[in-house]
Amino acid sequence: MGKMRSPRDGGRETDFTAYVRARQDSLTRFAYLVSADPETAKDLVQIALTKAYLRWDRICELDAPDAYIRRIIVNEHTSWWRPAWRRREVTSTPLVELSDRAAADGPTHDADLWAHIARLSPMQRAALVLRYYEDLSEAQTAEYLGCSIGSVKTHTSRAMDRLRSTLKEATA
Amino acid sequence: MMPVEPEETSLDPTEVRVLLLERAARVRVHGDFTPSALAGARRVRTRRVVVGSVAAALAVAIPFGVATLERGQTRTLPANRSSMGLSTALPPPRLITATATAGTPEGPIPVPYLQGGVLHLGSTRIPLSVEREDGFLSFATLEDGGVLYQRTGPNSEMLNLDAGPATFLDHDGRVVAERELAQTDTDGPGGLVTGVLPSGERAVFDASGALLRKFAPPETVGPADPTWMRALGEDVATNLQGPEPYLWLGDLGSGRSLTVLKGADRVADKSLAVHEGRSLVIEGTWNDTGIDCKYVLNYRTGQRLRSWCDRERQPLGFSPAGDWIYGMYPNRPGVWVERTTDGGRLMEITPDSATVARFWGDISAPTPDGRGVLVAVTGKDGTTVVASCTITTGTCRVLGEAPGKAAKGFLILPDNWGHRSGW
Repeated sequence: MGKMRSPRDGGRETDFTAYVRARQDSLTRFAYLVSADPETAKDLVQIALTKAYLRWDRICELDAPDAYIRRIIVNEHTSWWRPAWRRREVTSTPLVELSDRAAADGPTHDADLWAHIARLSPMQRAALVLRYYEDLSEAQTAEYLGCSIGSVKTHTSRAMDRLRSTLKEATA
Repeated sequence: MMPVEPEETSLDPTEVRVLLLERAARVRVHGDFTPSALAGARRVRTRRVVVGSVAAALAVAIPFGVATLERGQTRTLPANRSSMGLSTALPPPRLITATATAGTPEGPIPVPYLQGGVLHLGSTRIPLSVEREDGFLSFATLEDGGVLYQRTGPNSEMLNLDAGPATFLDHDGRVVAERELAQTDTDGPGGLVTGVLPSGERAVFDASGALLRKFAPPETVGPADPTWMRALGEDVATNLQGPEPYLWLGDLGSGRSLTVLKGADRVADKSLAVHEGRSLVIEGTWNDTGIDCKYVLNYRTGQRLRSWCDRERQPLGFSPAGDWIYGMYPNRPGVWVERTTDGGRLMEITPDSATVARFWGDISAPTPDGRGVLVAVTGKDGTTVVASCTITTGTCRVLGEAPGKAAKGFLILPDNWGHRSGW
C-alpha cells in the first residue's frame, strides 16, 4: 500500500477508519496463518489496530504501515508472556470465520499438513508464514521477528524438518 | 525379512506456500474492526508485567510500619522500596521441596478483595464505581490515605488489555480525579502516579491526581510502543519497542535522561520484573535457536548479570530484598525460587495432588518478610486458600480462605499494586 496521506488532510479518525476497512481482511488472513486459530486472529488484529491508532500520527507517514501492523501481530503472538487468565469473550456474531470448506475437511494430506503447521511453535510458524506466504526475504523476516538472519534460517529449517518428520510418522 | 522403511516424505516450500494461500482464502471477516480499535485506543491499557501476587494485607502493613487503611489515618511509609523486607540470610543453594496443600485456613484471607462493588481493605470498605462485577482491574493505595483504581474498559473482547480511566479517591473515598492513563504505576509509598497519556507523553501525577510534569523519552528509530513504564523512587523507566528496543531511565523530577540502552543486543523484548533497590530488571527475548532467554540486567549500567535460556522457568519477580527470584512453570503446576546472583536453586513448591484441584502459580508472590512465597490453591472442595511456603524450612501453611464466589479476589503486589486475580 502506498504512503498514507497526512491526518491533516482528512482527520485522524477518518484516515484510520479508511485504512482499517481497506486492510482488515488482509491483516486478518495474516493473523490467522500466524496463530492458526480464528479467535486468536481476531484478538491479534484488534490489539494491533488499537496500538496502531495510538501511534497513527506517525504510522500513517510510513511507507508501509501494513508492515508495522503485521509486526505487531507477530510480536503479540510470539511473545511467550501471555496472562494465564486472559479470557476470550465469544460474541454472538463472530468477527472472523472460516469458510465451510474448513469445517468439511476430511483426513487429507493438506488437512494433515495444516494440522502439523498449527502445532509448530509460534516462532517457527511465523517464520514460515513470513517467508512463504508473505514471500519476504530472510533479512526482511528477521526484521519482523526481531532476530538475526541466522535465527530465521534456523526457525525455517527446523519447521520444515519437523513437518517432514511428522508427515513421515503419519505415513508410517 | 527386513522391515521396509517408509519413503522419505518430501515437502518443499512451494507446497507450504500453496497451502497457506489456500487456508488464508478461507478467512471471512464480518463487520468492522474500527470501532473496537478506536474504543480501545481511547482507553487505558494497563499492562503490569509483574503478575499479581498474594500478600497478607495486614502482614504487608506491619513489618514496614504502614498503618492499616483506616479512613483518615496517616501512614508512616518506608523511605524507599529497597528497604522492604527484612534482611534474610539465605540458605545455601540446597533445593528444598515444599508441598502446598488445600488445608484448613487459620482465618479469613488476609488480602483485599472486591465484593458487590465494594473494595475491602482490612476493616475499611470503599465503594467503587464499576459497571459490572468483573469491571475492576487493579488498584493501589496512596500516600494520602486514598486509593487509585482502574476499571476495565467496555470492550469485553479485550477484557484483560482494555482498561478504563485511572480514578483517584481521597481518604474519604470521594473521587478527586480521573485520568486516561496507560502503563499506570505508583511509586512504593503511593505518592506519585506515573503513566502514558493518550498522546503518548509520559506523565507524573501526585496522589490527588494533579499533573506534576510530562516528559518525553528519547527519539526512537521508527514508531515505538511503550511496553513498560515504572516509577522507581526518584527515577522513572520506560521500555519502548519498535524497530529497535529501548530502555530509558530518567530523573523523575527533571525528566533528564540518565541512561539510554538501545538495540536488541542490550535490551530485550519484554521487561518481566523489576527490583528498584538493586536496579535490576529481568528481560525476556529469543535467542538464535528460537528458545527464549531471560536476562538479569542492571538497568542503570546495562550490565547483564546472568541469563538462562529455557522455556521451563518463567520468572515472575524478585524477593523484597532482591536476593532471590521466583517464577512459575508454563506447562505444569509449581513455583521455583532461586538466588538472584547465581541461580542457585532454593525451593520448589508443588501442589499436593491429594487435596489440590488447581494451583495458581502465576499469581504467586514473595512474603513481605522475604522468607518465603505465597501461593493460592483451590482445593477439591472448591475452596480457594492462600498458603505461605518458607524457604528455610520447606514447609507450607495455609493462611486464609478466599472470599465467597460472589467476590472477585485479587492480590497485592509487593510494591503496592493490587491486581485482579484468576479466582
